[in-house]
Amino acid sequence: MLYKWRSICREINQSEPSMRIILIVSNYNEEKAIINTLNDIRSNASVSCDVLVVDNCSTDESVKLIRDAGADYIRHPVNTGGSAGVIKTAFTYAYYHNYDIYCHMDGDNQHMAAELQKIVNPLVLGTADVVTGSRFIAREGFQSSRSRRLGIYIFSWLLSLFTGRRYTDITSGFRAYNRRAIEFFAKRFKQEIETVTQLELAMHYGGLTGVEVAVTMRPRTSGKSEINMINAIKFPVFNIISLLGTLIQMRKLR
Amino acid sequence: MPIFIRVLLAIFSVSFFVGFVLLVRNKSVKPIYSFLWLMVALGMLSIVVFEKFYKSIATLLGITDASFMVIVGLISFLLVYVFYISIKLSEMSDKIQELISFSSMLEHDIRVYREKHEAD
Ligand SMILES: Nc1nc2c(ncn2[C@@H]2O[C@H](COP(=O)(O)OP(=O)(O)O)[C@@H](O)[C@H]2O)c(=O)[nH]1
Ligand SMILES: [Mg+2]
Repeated sequence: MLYKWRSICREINQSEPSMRIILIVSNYNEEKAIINTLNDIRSNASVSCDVLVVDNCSTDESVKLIRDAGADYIRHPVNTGGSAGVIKTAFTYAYYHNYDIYCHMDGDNQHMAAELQKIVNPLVLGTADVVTGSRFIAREGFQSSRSRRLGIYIFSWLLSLFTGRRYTDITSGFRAYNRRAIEFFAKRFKQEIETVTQLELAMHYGGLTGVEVAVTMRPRTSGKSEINMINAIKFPVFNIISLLGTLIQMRKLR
Repeated sequence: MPIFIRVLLAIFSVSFFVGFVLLVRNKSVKPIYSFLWLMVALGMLSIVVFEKFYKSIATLLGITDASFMVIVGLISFLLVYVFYISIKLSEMSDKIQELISFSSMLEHDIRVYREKHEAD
């Protein structure tokens, strides 16, 4: 049952058949959406990959659903207080299991498995180390709330000032990392990731190149986004402080 | 302020500043703390540089007593101590994250191993 998921995907990545890809799906209380996400991956994934769900100690029934669906999963013994902890585990897992590419998808079924190829391609071609799927390039599909777009816009602009690179969707969870990036985050960058700005700056000063590709996202149909009323105030403040803090420490990343 | 205390405070706050900056840059302090502590160090330095300004504030608040130095001393001690704690805390949370990652991977491997065995 478990191993059925080891290579479920239909289309073999022709350009680099030797590349081992892992798709990690983050889950935190997504009982209404996680099965749809897994079904989407099972029937539409456009790259050949192993699939692993990383659960951040959900309190609902989602883990049972994941198990019943026969999917491979990892379970945090405690909640890390945010989705960044899942990413940290994902890097560690991908690193120790020698994956060449780690793709990340959220468990809320907002990302489309059919578009995996889009975020993997630049890595296979060697044009980038980290690829982010952005919904604000093609401007199709779900575009998020106005206030959040404003926040994203301001921080994208700030980040561009320091890195000289264009950002449009920094909060996007639909990302792919190559071996170099996996190694960087699993071995060299030992700190807890707290904000996306920190992640982007760390990447930049760590010498990784990032690009964005256009993707479409679905609206969230159930559950709550991590970015709620309290976080709407907390996130910008934390982001600005961690921006300045990371700048102070950037020498360490080189 | 007597020249003696001024020199003392200057030495103290400059070493504070240099110490903080060096530690903050190299130690594993969370970016959030590193920014906070840089601000504290800058604040300390500014006391020496803008002494007049602070003095006028102190006078406004009615602080003219020498016992003020005791308070400054105490606060400085607490600052150093809290700084130490924030370094420790940063290290701890990184370690906890590492432990969460590894223990969940381990639990996964044990579970997979068991299921494989039960199937046999
Ligand atoms: N809120 C929250 N989400 C988490 C946590 N750990 C993992 N996640 C997952 O991280 C993703 C967060 O995505 P979401 O909140 O929808 O962000 P958005 O899509 O950018 O609005 C979801 O897949 C969650 O299941 C956690 O501790 N809290
Ligand atoms: Mg989402």
